[in-house]
Amino acid sequence: MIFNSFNFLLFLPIVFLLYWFVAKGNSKYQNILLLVSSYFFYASWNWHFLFLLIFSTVLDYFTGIKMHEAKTKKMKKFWFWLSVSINLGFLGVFKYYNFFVESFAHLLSGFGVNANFATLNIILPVGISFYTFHGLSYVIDIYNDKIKPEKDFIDYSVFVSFFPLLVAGPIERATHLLPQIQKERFFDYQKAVDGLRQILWGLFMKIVVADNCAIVVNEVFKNQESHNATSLAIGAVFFAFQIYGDFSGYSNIALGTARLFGVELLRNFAFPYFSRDIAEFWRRWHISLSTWFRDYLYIPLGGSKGGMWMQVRNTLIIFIVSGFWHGANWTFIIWGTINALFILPLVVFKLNRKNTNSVAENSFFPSIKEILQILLTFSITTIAWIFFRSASVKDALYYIRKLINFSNYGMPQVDVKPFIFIAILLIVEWIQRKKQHGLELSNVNNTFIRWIIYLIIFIIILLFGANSDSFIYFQF
Amino acid sequence: MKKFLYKIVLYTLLITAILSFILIRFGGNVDYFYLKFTTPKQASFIIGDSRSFQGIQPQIINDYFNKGEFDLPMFNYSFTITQSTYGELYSQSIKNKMRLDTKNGLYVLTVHPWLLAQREYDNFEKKIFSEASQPPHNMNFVSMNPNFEYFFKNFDFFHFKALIRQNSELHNDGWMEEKNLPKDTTTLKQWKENQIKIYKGFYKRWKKCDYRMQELEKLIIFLKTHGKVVLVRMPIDSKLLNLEEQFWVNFDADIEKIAKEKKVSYFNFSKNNVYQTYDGNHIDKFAGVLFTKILCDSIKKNN
Repeated sequence: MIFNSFNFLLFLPIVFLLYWFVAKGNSKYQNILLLVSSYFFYASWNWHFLFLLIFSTVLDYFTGIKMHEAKTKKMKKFWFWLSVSINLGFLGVFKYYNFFVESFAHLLSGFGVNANFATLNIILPVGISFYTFHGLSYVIDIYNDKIKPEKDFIDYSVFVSFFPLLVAGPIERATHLLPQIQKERFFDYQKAVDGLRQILWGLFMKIVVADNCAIVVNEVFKNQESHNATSLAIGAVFFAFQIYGDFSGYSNIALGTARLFGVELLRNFAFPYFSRDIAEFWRRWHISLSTWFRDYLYIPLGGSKGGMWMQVRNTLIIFIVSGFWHGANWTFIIWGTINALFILPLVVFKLNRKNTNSVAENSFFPSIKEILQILLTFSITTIAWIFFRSASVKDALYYIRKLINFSNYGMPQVDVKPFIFIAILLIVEWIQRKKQHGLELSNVNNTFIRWIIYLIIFIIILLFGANSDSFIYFQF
Repeated sequence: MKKFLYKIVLYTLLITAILSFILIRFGGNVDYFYLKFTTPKQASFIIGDSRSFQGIQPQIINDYFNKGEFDLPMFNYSFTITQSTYGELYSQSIKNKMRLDTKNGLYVLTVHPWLLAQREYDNFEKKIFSEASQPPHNMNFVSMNPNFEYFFKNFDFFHFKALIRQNSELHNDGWMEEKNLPKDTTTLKQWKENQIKIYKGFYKRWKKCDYRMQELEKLIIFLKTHGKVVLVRMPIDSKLLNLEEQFWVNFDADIEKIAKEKKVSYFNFSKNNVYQTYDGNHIDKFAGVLFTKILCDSIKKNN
């Protein structure tokens, strides 16, 4: 069941009405309802993998309590590593086993040894990377005595499986989400209305921007030999907006949906394509993952405390691991490495926290300097996205080689109409850049105008929405 | 909460009203099949895929047989090759759409090898049919206006941007009119090459089968109890015809045999095509007028 489906359109109001009318006034009932709904939501993809989700939940719940009750540090360590190794073990088997086996066989073949290892013919359980990281953050926080374990199994299960965030995040923290689950939620009109606006904006980003870009992107990346460099450049730019519209659109729908139930999830995107340098971009893109790696990998590795060399090493590590988190393919690892190489000069020269405020903070229009900075940042992230989107490193290198050969440029051979939707997206987001999302209308007091805005967006979605595939991040 | 629900209901009603208006007023522009499920039950049918969907015009037949020879008007209940294939599902949908008190209907059943082939996901013994998830087979209500069952089940078929530029129009009689066909030969050549590529794919993946032939026979028997049945093979480009002849060597002989056994006429227009196709597979609307008239002549001659 994906967010932009009629099944979800039916599912959401039913759960909403049951939640606020049947389970009203009792957090226990509210959480039981959320858990049952979330498991139903997950099982609608593949009910077999529901058992894996339940197992992972039971494991972390149980080891969390055991760690807290452990009399010795050794025992605490035992339960901690048991949980971490099983969690990562599942992720390793389902997501990375084939990659390691094939890469090892390829390496051996370089030495003239022909190894034929068995690979697994299994599909990746949807959302496994997200709920595994959820569970890991909980276990790590208990191990570090930052939180106490949740004793109520239902509450903990809702923390892991809450359906808006279950399949593609945002990756929540126990410190942020669990307290909201533990107490009763009360209906908040403003929150619910703004949640619906955020859902509508998310649908626009996904169905109009991402899915229209996807048509051109799929054609260009599949048949790059038959397209000129102009078309490839357009394909790369469209992919930058496809992945943004897709993932940020998904996150908006997830956050908006959660708000209908009185729950605030972590913000995942903060208008990243208005960033003035790559460090700012990474503070605004997939924020819940970036901060996860910062808190659970970068800082434990020493962060910036061990001097410049340590900082460079740790930055490189988190970007490579972040790339690998996205998928078992060298393209993702190179994508992560390239981003690390982009950011390292800023780290070395201590310029990585130069742009922490909002762009054009005191004026409506950006300065020439800011425009150039934004364009440069967008260009380098787009180059990195080519690796992310390509089927192989070879394909990505071919794509880039063709792009930098200026004799290959000519009239575009692809549909350029998605630029119109991108322009709408950018204009709206620029106006709203200091808000939480593109359709936050807290300053529009006239109901009639607000309804006209909703209607215009609905009509744009209806008229120009492309046929949709699943969300890109479901595969991670 | 009351205020929230009140506004949600109001907004939902507004959206429903807008959608209903679009579906009722522009249903034939924004979807290729929608109007087939909003019109009343019918007496006479044209059955087949996109060849007859675009190529046989019910209005011409209505005008030709205007002396009460048949229980008209004619209704084009053809779809495209993805949806249309003879089998129990298509037969059932025809029965759902049919006025069962009809005694003197006219039934034009178009045939060619691909309409009677076993597709890669078909498993007839296990009752698995590749067309099952498609309209009209996934529809319970075939005569409802506006038809929200179609809207929800087949939303992906809608192309609302056609409200701005209308390239095709599905008429109330079920005929699909292509309105803005390109004139440049390069595009049309590409379209033709694409059609050949598609059918070459079918040639590799699909196979000749008995089940769909038997279902065609059953449908003929059923329709004969309600009127006159004719079998028609539509004209197409010679390259596509060669492919069909390689795929199903004695197709015409097989159909002729069925026609003879069931005592119905078989009009084969596939050879020496004189009708203009725009992509090798579909005759255009101007050639369609002529073709439908010639077909009427043949029906009249054998009546």
